[in-house]
Amino acid sequence: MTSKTGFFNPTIARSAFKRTMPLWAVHAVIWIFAMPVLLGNLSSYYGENPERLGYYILMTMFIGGTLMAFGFCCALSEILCNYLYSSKSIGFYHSLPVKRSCIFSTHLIVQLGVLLVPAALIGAFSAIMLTPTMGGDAWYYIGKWLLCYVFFCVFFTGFSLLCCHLTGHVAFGTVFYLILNFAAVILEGLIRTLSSFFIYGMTFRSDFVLDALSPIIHNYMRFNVNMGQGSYYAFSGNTYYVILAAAGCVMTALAFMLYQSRKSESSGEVVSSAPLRPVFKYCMTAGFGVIVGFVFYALSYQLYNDGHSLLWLGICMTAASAIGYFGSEMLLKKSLKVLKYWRGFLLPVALIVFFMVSISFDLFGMESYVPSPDKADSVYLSVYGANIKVPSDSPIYDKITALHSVIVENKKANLSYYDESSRAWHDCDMLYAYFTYNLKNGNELRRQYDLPVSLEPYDIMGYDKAMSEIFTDPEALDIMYAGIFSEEASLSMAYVYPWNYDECLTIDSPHYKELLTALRTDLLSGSISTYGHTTETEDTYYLEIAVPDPYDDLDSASLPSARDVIYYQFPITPQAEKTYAIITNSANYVPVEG
Amino acid sequence: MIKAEAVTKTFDGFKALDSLTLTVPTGGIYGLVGPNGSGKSTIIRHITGIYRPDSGSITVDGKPVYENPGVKARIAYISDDIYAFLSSSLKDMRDFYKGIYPAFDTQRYETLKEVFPLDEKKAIRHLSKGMQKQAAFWLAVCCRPDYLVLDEPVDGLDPVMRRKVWGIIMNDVAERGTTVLVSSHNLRELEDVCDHVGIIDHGKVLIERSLSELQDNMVKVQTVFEEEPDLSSLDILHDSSVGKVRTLIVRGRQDEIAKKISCLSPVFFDLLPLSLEEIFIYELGGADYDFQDRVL
Repeated sequence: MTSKTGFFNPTIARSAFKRTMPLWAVHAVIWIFAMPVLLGNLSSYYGENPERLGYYILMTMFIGGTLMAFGFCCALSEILCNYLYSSKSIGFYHSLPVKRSCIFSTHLIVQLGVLLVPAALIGAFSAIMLTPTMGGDAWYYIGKWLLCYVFFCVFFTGFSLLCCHLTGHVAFGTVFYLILNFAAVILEGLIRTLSSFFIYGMTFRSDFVLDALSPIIHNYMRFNVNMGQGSYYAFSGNTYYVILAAAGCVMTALAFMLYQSRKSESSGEVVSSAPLRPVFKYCMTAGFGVIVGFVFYALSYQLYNDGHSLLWLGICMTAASAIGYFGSEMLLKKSLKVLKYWRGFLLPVALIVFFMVSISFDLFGMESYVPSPDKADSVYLSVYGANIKVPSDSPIYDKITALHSVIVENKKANLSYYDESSRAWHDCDMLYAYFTYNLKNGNELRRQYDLPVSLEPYDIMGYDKAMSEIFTDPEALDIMYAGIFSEEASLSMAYVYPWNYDECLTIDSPHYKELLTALRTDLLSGSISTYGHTTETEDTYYLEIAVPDPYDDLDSASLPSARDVIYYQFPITPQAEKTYAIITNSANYVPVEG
Repeated sequence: MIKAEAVTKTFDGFKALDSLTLTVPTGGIYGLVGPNGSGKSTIIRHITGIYRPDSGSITVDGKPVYENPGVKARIAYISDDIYAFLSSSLKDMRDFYKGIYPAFDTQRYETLKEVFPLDEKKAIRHLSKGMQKQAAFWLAVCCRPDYLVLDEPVDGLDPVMRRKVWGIIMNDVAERGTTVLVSSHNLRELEDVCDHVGIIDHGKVLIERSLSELQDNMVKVQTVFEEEPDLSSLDILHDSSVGKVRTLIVRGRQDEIAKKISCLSPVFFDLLPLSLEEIFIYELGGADYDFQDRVL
């Protein structure tokens, strides 16, 4: 019968269900094994610990639910949208006295029904089965499990439907789905890698910002099942799951709009909607340019050379972009004769040239950018064991940015110390300096530099001087060594090692106060290097001390032994006269056990 | 009545339909003929609501077809390429059609079992092409449509089955007043069944008339003249000679042509009716078809 409701046709639903029956069965069997069967076994182990069962239920959804929804939604969409991909079947469907909106909504209901109805039934059965063990908590956890699966299914159904409606070709729905699920993270990773290769000071950071666009990766990277409030386990990303479901609804709506405007004659086309074809073409060009271009570059240059070549990268990216551009033209035009469309390729070439020029000449100022105090809240500097974080209104902030500016200005000189043949820095020691700015706009700016600190002649580029000014500043020392400079400072432990670490010496506790005073004096005088740049001789000792953490939030009544401690290590040379004297006079040999 | 008005459809820059206008009168059989790629299947897909025109309109009894289930429920369509769900049998498809078409006649389905000797439980995709056509016919006529749209309907059917199928269609036209739009290359067959004919080429309808009008409007003249006559008063589509016998294909009414030729004092002349196939060929010859040397 024709639909009475206008959005559901039982005949089309029956037919759709028949076609998806094998998937429905496999999906149901997997959940039966993952839920009632395994839960039944586990309940015999964790019968006295119902929280563990709750944890298991949520973990089943967290790990398995994501993958199940990801895979089954794609397969179901592909089966139900399959008729769009041949002129014969689309002609059949669209000649039927049923509105497109009705076909779409009926298929959508069938797809969600195939996934969610068995899940709900299996969940209900599992809850009934676990009620004697877990009581009402069984329903609480199963309810959360089911709700999360609903969110996943709504998202992946919308996503897969959109991909299936983007194309008119049977193979490309799944291809689009797989690519788009991971494209954001892959592209971001590659762009970050390339930036770390070619932008001075840029570091590779694995804290992706676009991973939210790849829910599978995002899920496993960021979320977990934790103990929530009231001794109940909970998903750590509830809000994200709701956002996922909302995004799924939006994508379903977009798929519906694409279907409504779809021309039946687009079956067989790689991209069903004509206005989206240029988008596809240039996305393919960009994707190939970055991903395949990087592969070409790695295989043809990086494996056989030290350092990096921007020119070679540009050539590789151009070649890969050409494959992407002309390949997509071939798919769109269904012809191999596509070279005549070369004009459209000028745009990607121009972008690649612009990209190379902008990096070479730092057109966007990424390399030379040092945030002024009005742009940042704070800065964190780490140089070989010395770490300091100061707010932007501190005078030390200016000293740190001065160091940063000197490093940036000396880019060419720094890089000239790198010997590509030996992959080492010649005629100098090297220090790693990390800068992390917390900007006022909420972002974080990170830079990392390998600094040549020459010993002969000393301090070629003035880095040592700039660092000394930071790390001998009393305010900086107070921040860096709060455990030493605070009024209640005390030593918990003090060990001394000779320069070659051949033996271990200890300083007795009666000397702790004296040692602490000496250490403070020598640090303030700058005779103790705080950032690892020390001329090591046979007279050098390494002093390792432990002090109670002044920021430990344990109440004062706690035993000192229960408090957190901070460990510091300092190189002590004869220049640090006071500390050196205590070490040489008071240190005792400690036999090393074993 | 099916009416297509100034319908234009372009595929990737190729104009498949060029401001095509066509009228299928109610209660008759309309034959749509034209060379390959002329736009027959394209206009049929518009009429069945599969394609949406770039411009122009398609109406059935004054109502638009595209996305109009009410109108589409009255149209049954048999495409040149039969579709059935994967592994579905004739019975499955019958149930599907029954659920979709409100006027589906189960009793007629049972009755027609005698006409179509098909295994109802066998997957339609495993049937031969001719059998699939039979299955499509069987299901389509059971929908009891007011409009039956057939694209190359009898391709692959044996002569006996063709006759049976046409018998069923003619019966529906006679008893129920079903309107049939049929596209075919088999002009001899169309000539036997059609009331109206539309000749389509390059996405335009060249001629659209009743078959009798069409045949009355074009005549083959075989004649012998003593001297070369002045034939400028005749609308000649084709002119050839074998020996002294001259064959002319002339557009116009028989009596008028006879009168004009008589005035030219021929030694002999005879007027012969043209078959639909000949009309088709000569009309298309007039539409820039350089067929003279290759076909005749």
